[in-house]
Amino acid sequence: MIPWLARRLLWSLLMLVLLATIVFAVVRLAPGDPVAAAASESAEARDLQLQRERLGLDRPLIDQYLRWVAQCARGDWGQSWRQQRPVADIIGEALGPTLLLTTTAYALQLALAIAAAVLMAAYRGRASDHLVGGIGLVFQSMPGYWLGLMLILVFGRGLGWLPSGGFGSPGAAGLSAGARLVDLARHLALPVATLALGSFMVTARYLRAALDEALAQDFILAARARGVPHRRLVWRHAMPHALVPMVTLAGLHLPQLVGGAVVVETVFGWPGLGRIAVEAIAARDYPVIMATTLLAAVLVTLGSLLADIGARRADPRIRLSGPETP
Amino acid sequence: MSELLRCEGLALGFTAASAPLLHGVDLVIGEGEAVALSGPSGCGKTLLARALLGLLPSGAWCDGRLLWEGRDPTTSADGWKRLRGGGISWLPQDPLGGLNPLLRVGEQVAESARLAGAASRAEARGIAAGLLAEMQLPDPERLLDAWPHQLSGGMRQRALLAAVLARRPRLLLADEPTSSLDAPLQRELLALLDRARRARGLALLFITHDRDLAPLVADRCLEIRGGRLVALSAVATPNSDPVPAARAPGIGEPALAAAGLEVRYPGARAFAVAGVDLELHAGRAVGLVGGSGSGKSSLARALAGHLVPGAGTVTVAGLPQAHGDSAPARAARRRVQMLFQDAGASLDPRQRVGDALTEAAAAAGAATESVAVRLLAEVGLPAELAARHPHALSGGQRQRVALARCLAAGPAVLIADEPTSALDAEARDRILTLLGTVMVSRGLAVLLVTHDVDTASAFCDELLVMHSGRIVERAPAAPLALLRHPHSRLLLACRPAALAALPQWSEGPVRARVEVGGAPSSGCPLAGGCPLQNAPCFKELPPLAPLAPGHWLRCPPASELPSPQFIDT
Repeated sequence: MIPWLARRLLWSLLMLVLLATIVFAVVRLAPGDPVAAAASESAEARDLQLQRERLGLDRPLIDQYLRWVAQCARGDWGQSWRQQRPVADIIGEALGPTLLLTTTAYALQLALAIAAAVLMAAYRGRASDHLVGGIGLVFQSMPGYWLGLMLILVFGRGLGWLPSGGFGSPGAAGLSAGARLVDLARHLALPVATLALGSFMVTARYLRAALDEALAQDFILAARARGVPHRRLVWRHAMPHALVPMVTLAGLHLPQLVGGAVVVETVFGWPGLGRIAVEAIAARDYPVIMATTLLAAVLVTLGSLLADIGARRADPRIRLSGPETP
Repeated sequence: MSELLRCEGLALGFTAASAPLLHGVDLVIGEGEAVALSGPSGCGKTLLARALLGLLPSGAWCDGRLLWEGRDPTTSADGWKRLRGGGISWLPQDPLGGLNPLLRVGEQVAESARLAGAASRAEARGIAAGLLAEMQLPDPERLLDAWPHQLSGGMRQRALLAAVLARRPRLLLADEPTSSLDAPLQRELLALLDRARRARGLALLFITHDRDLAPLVADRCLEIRGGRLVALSAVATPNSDPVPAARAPGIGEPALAAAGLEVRYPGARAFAVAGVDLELHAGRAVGLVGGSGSGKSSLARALAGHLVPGAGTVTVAGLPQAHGDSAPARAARRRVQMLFQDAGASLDPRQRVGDALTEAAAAAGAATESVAVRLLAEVGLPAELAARHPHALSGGQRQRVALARCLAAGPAVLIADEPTSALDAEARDRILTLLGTVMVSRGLAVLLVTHDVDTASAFCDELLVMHSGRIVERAPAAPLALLRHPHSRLLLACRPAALAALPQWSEGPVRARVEVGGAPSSGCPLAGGCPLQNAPCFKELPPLAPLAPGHWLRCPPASELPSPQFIDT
């Protein structure tokens, strides 16, 4: 396990370095001038040039890159050009809300997916199979921003049950801990629902295929012949087989959730990484763009690493004796 | 004896097929009665068992009357549910597939005990441990927490039997439960099944393709012939040599020679193959026999160049066997072809038969327009099969196609790894006859790897008996009675035909097999459980020493005995 983990970590690190390089290159080569974007219309060309020199944008690209790498290696993320404060502070404030949103959404979509997959696989060909498949397809085909807007329209504006955006009600800071938690949950409900409803059907289809395959195995037939009830066959005998590949899929799912969060955070005014990234891109705020992109990459790499470790833990055949292949 | 199961005019088959597989089946099984049902592969034996469980696969149909204690389980909504497990239960063929790999052994046995009415988890666990002990599995308490993959094939099948018995069925459908086990393991499982059955008054329907097994386990033997159930005719198994006799003796340069061959898998404690020397000659067949895990298949794969040996050499027609992907290495490996047990798995399901043959011939530089047709003719198949996919062939036809593909490469050596153990008696004899014909006409050197001593004896010129990665005896293929090594004698004694001659075959201790790797590092791996053991056996491994012309033996105590029969206990 340990040599495998060391190899795996080394690969992850290599991937991150490569990714950082590519992102740096793409951001710098993309059209658009951060100095011009920030400056007022009346600014003189000489002032712009001075500002460029101050930010180091006049130096050769390779020089800028090396400076940036050295800075990152020291743990210094730099200053936001637009907000004039440390990038680390901006990220630190946004990380919590994003992690809260994505993990809650992932948990909900997994729960929905398991329920949907069982309804489809265990009662294959019956009404519940087609009904669940149809409903899932409808949600899957809705764009995230549209689904979010519709949920706001119905539950926020129409019924008035839930707040239509933001991280908390104004004045929530003065409430008791319990009331603050309820307030947060109410604000979390619609963005989480938007993310989970939009993505659960992908997981559900994987799960359903895996369940179908597991239910067709000889050991299921043997257990059925021993009189094991259908419900127990599905949940105790077949479900573990379907969930083992799901652990790996979870890692592959993370980028989708993080990516989806960008849109959803913007729609719901959620103060997370996604919204910060969108604002930074609009302003050509290079240090913030680089930091958010790299952080997303770290999260995704970490997710897939945890998924691989999890998959090895989940299957006793790999855990105890399996060949150690990368 | 009260009646448990009654079938009247049962017919079943597949919707896609024009004719039913079975029709007019009348079968009555009474309380505690053991009935054996034999028939060739594909005759509908397994389908009948699944019909009796109400678990027909999709695409199959069943017609007729089925009564359990006078009641029809199909008339009430939960009739089958109440019947399965506690009424009729099923012991499947494949011990690898019968247990859920992601549930601990104990949970699967205890689950059945819970369903049979155990009051608590603790009580169910106690029952499970007791059943594992009854199945003579070592250290039952610890085994409860083991995963199925940690058990050997024989142990898994016994654990599965424990799970079936924990549900307390009254009729057990045992569907070829021993066909993937070697003779000693088969004897162990049959003895345990027989004892458990008698102790519980359990009725048994024993399904097998081996007619010799039927009378061993059953009071009444039935056979499927022409889609109907008939009483088993007392036909002796044809013991004729299926191969034209009179072959050239093995002289001159060998087609394949191995010296000091060793194979050890990463992480394994013991060698899978430990210092094997052998020679194969053109036009002659050598039989490699031994139990499961004896290293037969590892040896075969090392000879074919499919795995790189840790030590030793393999020489094919004077040139060393090669590994790697270079053109000369591939050409060298082509000289040794392998025929596998599961022909269905060794053929690409998406490739037409003709394309598979042409591809193999092209790799050997011998592709012509008609090569596929010529090869099909050589293995006795009509030319129109070239356009088919493997799934549209019978088991015997698939094995013939696999053989034709081996021949397409123009080999000097053919290694057949259990090529007939998935086939019934008739298909087996036909394949072996074909193999013998091809061997003579092409001057092939053949190594037949099998756990069936009788097949090896009938087909081959010479036998190699393998145990714990070593050749323990090298002897002329016939007569079998001359084999002397205690392990050879055990393989002979566990054959169904030999067991049938013993009235009390299921009594006495069921021997726990000495696990490979648990054996003493020096000394004979059989020492400890061997009737002939003496002090030197534990100290050093005896050499393979000549005993008579053409006969070598790795057992000094056995070679000193006046006749092989003294070894049997």
